[in-house]
Order: sequence, then structure tokens, then C-alpha cells
Amino acid sequence: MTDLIILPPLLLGLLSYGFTLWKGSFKIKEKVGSGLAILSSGLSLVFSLLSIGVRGRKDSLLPPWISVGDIEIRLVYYLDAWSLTLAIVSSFLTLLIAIFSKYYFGVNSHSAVYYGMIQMFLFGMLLLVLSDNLVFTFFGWEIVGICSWFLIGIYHYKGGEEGKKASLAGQKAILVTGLADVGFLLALTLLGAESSNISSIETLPAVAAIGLIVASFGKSAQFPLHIWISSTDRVDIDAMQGPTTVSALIHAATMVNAGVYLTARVISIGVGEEISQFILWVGIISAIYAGMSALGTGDLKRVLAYSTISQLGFMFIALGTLGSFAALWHLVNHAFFKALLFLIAGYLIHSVGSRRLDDLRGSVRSWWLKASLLIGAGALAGFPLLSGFFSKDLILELLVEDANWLAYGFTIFAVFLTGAYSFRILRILLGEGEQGHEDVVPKFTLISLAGVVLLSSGSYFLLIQFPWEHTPAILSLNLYMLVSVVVSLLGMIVGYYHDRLSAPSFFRVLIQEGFFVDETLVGLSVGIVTSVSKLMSFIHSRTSFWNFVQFTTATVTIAIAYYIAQYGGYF
Amino acid sequence: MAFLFLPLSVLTTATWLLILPIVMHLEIRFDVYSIKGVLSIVASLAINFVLGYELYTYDTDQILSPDFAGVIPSHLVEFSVTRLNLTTAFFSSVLFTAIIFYSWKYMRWETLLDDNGTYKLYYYFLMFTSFMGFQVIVFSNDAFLLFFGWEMMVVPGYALVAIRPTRHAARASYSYAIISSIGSIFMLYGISMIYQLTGTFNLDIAATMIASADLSRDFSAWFAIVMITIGVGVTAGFIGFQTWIPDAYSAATSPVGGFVSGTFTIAALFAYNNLILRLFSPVVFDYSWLFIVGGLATMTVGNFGAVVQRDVRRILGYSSIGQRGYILYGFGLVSLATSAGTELLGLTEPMVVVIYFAIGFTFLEGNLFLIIGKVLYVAQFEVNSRDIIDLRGSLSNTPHTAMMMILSALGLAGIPPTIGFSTKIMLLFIAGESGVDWWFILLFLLNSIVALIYYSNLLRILLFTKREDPLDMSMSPGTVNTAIFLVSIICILFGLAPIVIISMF
Repeated sequence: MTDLIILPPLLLGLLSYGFTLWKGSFKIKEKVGSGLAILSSGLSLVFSLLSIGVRGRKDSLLPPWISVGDIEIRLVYYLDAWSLTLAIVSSFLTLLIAIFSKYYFGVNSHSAVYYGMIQMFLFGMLLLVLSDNLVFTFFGWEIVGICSWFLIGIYHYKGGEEGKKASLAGQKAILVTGLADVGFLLALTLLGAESSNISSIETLPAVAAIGLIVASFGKSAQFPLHIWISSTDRVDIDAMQGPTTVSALIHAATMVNAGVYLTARVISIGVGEEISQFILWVGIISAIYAGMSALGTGDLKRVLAYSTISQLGFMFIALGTLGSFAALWHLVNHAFFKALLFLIAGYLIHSVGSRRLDDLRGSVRSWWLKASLLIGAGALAGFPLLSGFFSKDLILELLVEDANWLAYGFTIFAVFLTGAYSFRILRILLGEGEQGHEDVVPKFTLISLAGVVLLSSGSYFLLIQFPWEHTPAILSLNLYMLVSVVVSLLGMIVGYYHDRLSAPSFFRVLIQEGFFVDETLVGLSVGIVTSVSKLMSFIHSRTSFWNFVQFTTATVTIAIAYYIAQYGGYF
Repeated sequence: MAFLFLPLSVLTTATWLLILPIVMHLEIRFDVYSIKGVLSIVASLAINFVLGYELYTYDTDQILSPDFAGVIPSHLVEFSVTRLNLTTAFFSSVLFTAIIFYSWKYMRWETLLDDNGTYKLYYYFLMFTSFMGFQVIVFSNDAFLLFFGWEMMVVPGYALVAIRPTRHAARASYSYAIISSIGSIFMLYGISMIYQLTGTFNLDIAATMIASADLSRDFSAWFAIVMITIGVGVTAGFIGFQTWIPDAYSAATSPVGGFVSGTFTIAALFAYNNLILRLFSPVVFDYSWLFIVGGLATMTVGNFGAVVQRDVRRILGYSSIGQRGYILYGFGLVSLATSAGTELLGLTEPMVVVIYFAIGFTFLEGNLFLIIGKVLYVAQFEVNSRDIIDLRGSLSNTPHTAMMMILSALGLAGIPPTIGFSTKIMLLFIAGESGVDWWFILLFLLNSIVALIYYSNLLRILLFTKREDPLDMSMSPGTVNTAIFLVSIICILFGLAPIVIISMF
């Protein structure tokens, strides 16, 4: 049964990739590709919805992957609230975004590749979340990584500056996440082949736990490994170079959640106090850092990307206080309202032809777009009774329960920042501007918009329908909730009237440049790798040096041989 | 029937090597230049078939030795046919067949391009001789026979590097010949030390004798180990003796590069396994750190060296050094585990994992060489350069080849879904069980990230860049495409179901 969830995107994805090799018209290829993408994600959605209520380990019908000596690595699924929710969210959003892509990505030379990649991505994501075996989790982990690389760089076919930036951005994404993945592989190695089934691990060595968490930080773009998802306006090489639909699907709603998922699995095994504090503080730093940077950037997609980092930071804060449910809930809410905001952004960018906030000023005209934007931004900012409000409040209550007041203070500040940057873009997009032009949208793509609008406003009511292991005690009206409501409303007001405020210029430069984290890290790593490799190839090309090494070895060995022959009594 | 002591595939190769000169003579006599290639494909398929048949009908290990009616002791020349040997030879022969098939049109085109084409007459002869040497190494159960096979394999290699006699190739071939000859002398010296210690070349007898005698403080035993490490290390790319690799690979034509890089590495691994691990038990002689540290140093030199290269085949050469470093590292891990008495993954022969890694590397690196060969084949008519910047975007409008290039490059970086992922995972599992400190595993993993830098660079520049004046890729012959397709299919199938290949050993 569970095989049926992951197989449609794999098989239909391979089919549609095979179709790209056919030398036919782009129009037919696009039609077939999008049709297959919609079909496969729909099938996955149906089968994962049918699996609601199924719990525990389930064997796959597929033969073992490796069986040698003592070890047998085979695909085993593990179904629980986390894996099923993520499977449902991923396949549902893939379905919506495949529909929306018909409008956004259109017909061009790469649309067939695009849809094939989307399906491969879904396959990787489903394998990642459903697999019990860490080898297969890593398999899916890397599949989504490569799909993200290729989809970020898909505009390379446009050539010129844009194409160059796109392909560099893709490479940056795979290298930064690849560096973090070293932790995953190290953990896999230390755990060994026999105990790679995560549901049967009883104790996790500290190095392995840190490795898995670092890998999660890479995938979920936590500070300072966030540089692949969002850089500064000046550098402009990041995941936002990809199509906006890809940003909505991969870099907001699904792939970046993989890290949260893995960390949740790790803390469910049990980790030490230091490690949970580590998760908590990285989450807090990312939430505040990204919140501040989002206020400084002048690019619509980049505001949303920074906001993704910040919201993922909130999920890590929840995980750091061992509040698995709050993290999952915020994850689901975030997936929907961020997908909604990205889809609106995609629509505006497609209409106006620019990502700059200055060009997009006042570009939202029609009532349905205004309403969707209000719901999306409100949910992000934590406006009372919209979805983001509940989960954010639950996270804050966890910190209160722990009496971790320092962390609580910082998190409240991050809540303030969230309100500020979301209402800043709201003001800019709704305010007066020159842009009168709006695209005519094919009616059916509005389905996807309507879907996410519905879910971002009412995900709470949807969520309590699921049979959870434990029903959270929330919606208890108390003083702390009042504090968070006031703070976030304050943030919204500040954000809405941001143009009346003026920050000191040096601070403004700092947040505009993202505190120079990107330049520093990229410059350092490129500098180190290039200089070491130049040194290596310099040494390598010194033939005389190597001849010296080789002949010295030879001479010394022969001298010893002579010594043995003379005095050792041999020969 | 004294000749039946040869393994059947060696016999097949030898037969073809006897026929080939006649074919070559006839070709010159009647001025036709197409029979040799076709017949070579048939011969390589026959080798393939013989090995496959032997593997299929395998039931027990066999020792093949000649019956000279008691005049010569029969253990003097001995082959052992085991499942491990047969599988290794079989998979190497699959790649060899693909390369011969690839060479058919490719080498004819190169012959046409040059003024003096006749020197390529010897191409197939050299390739088959070298491959026969490889088979002798794999099947030999005798140190001297192994050396005999070794020379038979590497000496044609010198000529193959210079098969296209440019100035560059001649110099690379010359330096390779010199350093490899020094290596052979060292190896021979080491083998003679084995003879001196035991009085025999037979590996089984020598291993028993060394195990029964207490040689742990014997200098000559250590001396033999060091000599063989250096001697084989030249071909294995051991740090300090790796200098010839980038030069030779950038000078050699692509099919030669594809053949030499993988097959010679497997041969070196077999030589290490037979001459060092089998004879000198790591329990007594702890040389494992020599290989672990040497392997780490080799991969660091190779991977970092590759990042700043601009010649595409040079990048592959450096990447090959990096991969050889992984293999040496794996060999060190196996010997470390053996010395500690750890049973790796419950395997009776843990070297299987390293050989499996080497086979995966052979296919992926071979495929990358073949694809780069195709690019250079087409690009020769327009840009005539191996510089990666001149070749930018050359694969951006050929989805088939681009896909295969992606698969091979990602496989070498150890990323799913190709065979490279499963080989890397298996290597990591034995690293985890061998008891090596986790720092050494981390260094290995960081190295593979450096490797990802240049593989992703290669993909970004060749694939993900728009080319203003696209190359006409349809110019490349169908056989070239078919060979690439075949190897790619193998890489992906064994990546999705590695159980098929690993259960063959």
C-alpha cells in the first residue's frame, strides 16, 4: 500500500523525463509533462490520504537493495503523524503547484524537463519522509537536493547574465547543502548498517546526533548555512533565481521542511540537554537574523525567502524545547501560507516582469488577490485566528513552560520582526503605485490559489480532524497569549508605517547586506579551496620535486637492501 | 592439452591476439581498414561471453596448473578461478567491450584526421594485450605470474598513451614509462624477497609459510611489503607516485583514458590484495595506517588539484587520483579490521567491498571519459581545444548525453541514484565497523565534498550554460552513443539494484 504512495511520481516522472528526449513540439511535450505531473501527485495524494490511521513499520514489497554478509538494507516504511502529514502536504502542494505552473512556467524548451524534475522531487521527498531506513532517507535527501539544484538553475537556457546567475545559484545550493550532508553520512557511518532503521535506534551517539542535526540545518537553511536560499541583493546568487513556482514548492513548503523532520526524528530518539540547547539557539539566531534581513532587502522573493528561514527557525525553537507537535503544526501552517505568498509573488512577477519591490509598488489591484494577500501575510504575521497565530503561540507557550525566559524574550522579538516584515510588503504591494497592468489568469490555475488560501486560513480546524497521538492543550487564553498578540500587532503597525521610520544608516546597511554573512562565508571558503588547490596543483606540477621524492625513496630503499645483503646474512 | 591450464577467457584473448596480426596484414595488403575493428568487437564479446558462461556455471573454486608430466613442478604456474576473480574480470570485460565498441568508429575518425594514420594499426593489439595482462593478474595464484601479467598490462599502456603522437603525448608517455618501469623494478624486488623468505612463488604456499614462521621482527618481510607498496603504488597512484596520471590522461585519447583509469586500478588493487594482504597478515605486520593515511593524502592531492584545472581530461585525471585515494583508503580499512580481528559486515572476504567500489569507479570514470571523448570529437572541428571554457555549453542541447553525464559525474561524487552511491555507502559501512576513529571518516567525507565542487563545476560549465554557437552533436557516430548508453544503463541499474552485482561475488 505504502509503495503506491511513492511509486507514481517515480514511474510517471521517469516516463515524462523519457518524453523530454522525444523531438516533438514543445506544446505537446508541455501538455504531456504537466498532465503526468498532475496525475502522479494526485495519485500520491490519494494513496497517502488513504493511509491515514495506519501506524508503525510497514515492509515494502520491493526486493532488498543490498544484501551481503550480515547486512540487509531494504526499504521499510515508518508511518506516523510526522511522515504522513509531510507526505500529504508534499503531494498536495505538488499537485497545486503543477497546476499553477501551467500558467507560470508556460511552454518553452525546458517545460518537459521541468515537470519531470518536479515529479522526481516529489518521489525523493516522499521517500525521505516515509522511509524508516536512514540509507533510504538519505537517498531521498539527495534526490531532492539534486532536483533543487537543477530546478534553481533551470533558467540557464535563457543565457546571458540571468542564465549565468541561475546556474551558479544552483551550484551554490548543492555545495552548501552537500557540505552539511557530510554530517548525515558521518552519522550513517557511525550508526552502522544494522542499526540504520530509525524507529529501532535506542541510543544515538553524540557525534551522530550532531551530524544529523547539522545536515538538517543545511537542508532547512539555518544560520549560517542559509546562504544558499537567500543572499543579499548585491550578491544575488541564491535559490530565488529559480522559477517562483519552484521556490514555492521546494524552498518554502516542502524540501526545507526535511531538516525539521529529521531533527524531530532525532529528538524523538532522545538527545542530551546540550544538543537540544544547540538546536534552540540556532533556531533563535536564524529567526532573528532572517527577520532583520527581511526588513532590509528590496526584492519580493528574497523577503519571502528570509521569512522562510525565520519561520523554520521557529520550528527549530519548538524542537529545541522538545515540542515536536508544535513544530509539526507550525510546519504545516507555514507550508500553506508560504506557498500562498509565493504563488501571489509569482503572479505579480509574471505580470510586472520584475522582482524589485520598487517596481512592484501598488501592483495588487483585484479584490481576490488583495484578499489572498491579506490572508497570507496575516497568517505569516500571526494575526489572531489565522493559522500562523495558533502554532506560533504554542511555540511561545512551550518556552514559558520551560521557564526559559531569555529564549522567550528573543523569540518574542522574532515575532515582532515577523509582523514587521510581513506588513511591510503588504503596504508596498497594496500602496499607491504606477503599475496598472495585470495578467489575465487562466481560471483553472486559480484552483491552486483557492486551495492554499483555504488551508492557510483554517488549517487548525483541518488539523484537529486527524487522529493525533496527543491532542495539544491550546487556545488557553492567558497573559502570555495577550503579550504575543500585542507584540505581533505592534510589529504589524511598525511594518505598515515603516516608511515613516528611519533607522541609523550604518544599521540599515548592515541589514541590507545581511550582516555580510554571505560574502564572508563564500569568500572564505572559495579562498581556502582555491588557494589549497592552487598549491596542490603547483606542487603537483613540480616534476623535479616529485622526482626528488621518488628517487630518494628508491635510493634509500636500495641502500637498505644493500645493507641487508651485506650484514643481514641474506643472499 | 597442456594449454588448458589457462583460464578460458585468457585463452580466448590469446587466440585473438594470434589472429589479429594476420587480419592487420590482410588489411594493409588489400587496403581496407574496417575489418579489424569489427572483429575486435566480436572478440571482446567472445571474452565477455566466456567469462559470463564461466560465472554462470561456477560451482567451486578451481586451481588451474599445467601438467608437464612431472618434469616441471606444477605449482610453478598456477591460476585460481574463484567467484571473486570471475566477477571482477567479467565486469571489467563489459566495460572493455563497450570501449572497443566505442573505439571502432572513434579511432577510424582519428585515423582520418591525422596525416599519418597507420600507427593506429596497433591500437587493438595493444588494447587486447593489455587486457590479457589484466586477466592474468586477476586470475594468477603465483607471484611471478602476477608480475608477468603486470608487465603485459602496463607496457602496452605506455604505447597507448602515445597512440596519438603529439609532442605532449610523447612526453607524457615517456615520463609514464620511466616511472612505471621504476615501479616494476621495485615490485620485482619485493617479489624476490618473498621468494627469498619462502622459497616459492606460489601464493597459497607462501602465505602458509609466512604465517607459520614468526617474521614480525624480520626486516626483509617489511622490506618486501614496502617494495611492493611502492611498486604497485605507481599504478595505483599512491601519493608520491601519482605524477604521471594527469599528464598521461590528458594526452591519451579518451577511450584509452577510460580503459586505463579503471582497469589498471582494479589490477593494482588485486596486486595489493594478493601480494600484501594475503601473504603478510596484518595481525603480524601492521601496515594498515600506511594505506589509510596514504589514501587520505592521495585523495586530498587529487581532489584539490582538480578544482583549479581547466583541461577537461586533466580534471578527469585528477579526479581519478582522488578516486584511487578512496580505494587505497578502503584497502587500509580492510587491513585495519583484519588486524583487529573484526569481521566486517559478516563478510568472509571483506575486500569484496573495496573491489565493488573499484568496479563502480571503473564504470563511472570510464563513462565520463567516453562522454568527454564524444564532446572533444565534435568540438575538434570547431574549437579544437580541451579547455573547459572553450567547451562551455557544449552539452546543453543534447538531452541524452547530458543526462548520462549528470549520472556519471554525480555517481563519482557519491550521489544517488547511480552505482557510485551504493559503493560509497558500503565503503562507509566498513569504515564504521573497522574501528577507525571518526575523524578519519570525516576527512574522507570532506574530501568527497571537494570532489563535488569540481564535478558540479564540470556540469555547470558543460551543461548548464547557454552556448551561442551550439556544437552539432549529431556529428558523433552511433556506435559512440551506443557505448555511452550501454555503460550509463549499467551504472543506473546497478545503482538502483546493487544487490544484483554485490551478490555475484
